Amino acid sequence: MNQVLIAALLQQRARSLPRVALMLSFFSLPLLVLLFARGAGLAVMHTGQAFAIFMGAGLIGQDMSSGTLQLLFARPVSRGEYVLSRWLGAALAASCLTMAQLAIGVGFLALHNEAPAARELAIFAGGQVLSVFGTTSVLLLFSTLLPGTGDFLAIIVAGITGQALQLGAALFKAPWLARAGEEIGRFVAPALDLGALFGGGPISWFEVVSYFSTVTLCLALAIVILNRRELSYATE
Amino acid sequence: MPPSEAGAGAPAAPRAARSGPTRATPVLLLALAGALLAARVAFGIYEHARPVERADRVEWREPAAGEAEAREGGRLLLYCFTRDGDPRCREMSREVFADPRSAVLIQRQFVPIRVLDLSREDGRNPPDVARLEREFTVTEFPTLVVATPGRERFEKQAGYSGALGTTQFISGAPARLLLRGPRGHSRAGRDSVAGAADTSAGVTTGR
Repeated sequence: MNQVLIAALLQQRARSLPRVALMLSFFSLPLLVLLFARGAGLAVMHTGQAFAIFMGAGLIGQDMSSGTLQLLFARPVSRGEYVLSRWLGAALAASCLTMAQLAIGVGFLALHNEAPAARELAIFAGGQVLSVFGTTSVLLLFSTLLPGTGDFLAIIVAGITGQALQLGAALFKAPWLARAGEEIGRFVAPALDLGALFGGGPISWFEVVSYFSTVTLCLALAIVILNRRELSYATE
Repeated sequence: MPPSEAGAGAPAAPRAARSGPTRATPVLLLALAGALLAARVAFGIYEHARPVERADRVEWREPAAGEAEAREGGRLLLYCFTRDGDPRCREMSREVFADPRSAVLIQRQFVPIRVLDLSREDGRNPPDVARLEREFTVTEFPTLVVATPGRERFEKQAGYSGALGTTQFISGAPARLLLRGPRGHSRAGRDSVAGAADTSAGVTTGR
């Protein structure tokens, strides 16, 4: 990992007004709900995926479009190091936002005497962090393939396709179509239900392995794709 | 984002001298990803044949107690007509009611009532179950019914249309009931649900 690259990513994100505005609204709106509404619970703070998308959209594609990569790779920085640093920087920043929001949110819940149990809180926080790292991995892969913030659009399109297939499966009574839709959904929004994992009941190892398979596959493919990419000063 | 934003203009190169290729293949990562992918396929096939039975996370009520609770709190009712050992019922329980988000949604919006059909096992149903099955013309299992506290209006989904379709039915039913609004119809005429069917397969509305 390269700390300079991580710091550069954070500066870059902090300078983007649209991103900051979106993150601020997703940070404050659930907190406002918790402040004024009773019984909302932790569910309103399922914002990990959103933070990952705002922090990660255009993770590599933007540098590629702007010509930054050509300059960057003239220095002794390996492409793998660059990819992993961008991924880790975005995921850590999004995780910090999620945790900060959760901490304030729990404070508001405590004001209403609705503070969750420590175990429930830990499971929720862990699930959110895993969701952040998973979503950032998928963005990273799409970002090596698409310019600008095309990775964000790719996730949206893939998510809609997965849902459409599942609805189509219900209409046409085609279980294989439902499975295909489910797998697409599982890929674009990797998450792990820690409640089921630590609840003492039977564990679905398929879900556990699916999550880590998606993350490692995305990271490995992103590095391989960027390794094979020839950059020229004429790159769009 | 404007291109200027993307300028990772910070000096990215460490000062120490570096050697080795800058395009090294991530062999370990690729091997790990390959192994996990193989395990994913293997577990996928295994768990397709032997699905993991997860605990239902919804706190179901008995019909009488649940209906009283709904009347008292003015809350909507969610009836789940189910049969023990039925593969479709188990599938719905595993995919919808064991899912923490769906369970929270159900607990928050409805008073959930589980109506267990025993006609296959015992030859006949308890009076409460028989009454509800007659009222909502339940002929298929599982069937979900979202009803107003006094059961004046209801939305029904017969059969299981997958996790996504079912979650959409559950989350959309309160709004559909609200939009239809009270029109003063007596309960006598509301059993003919087929006449007011909406466009979704297996979903009917009644008044």
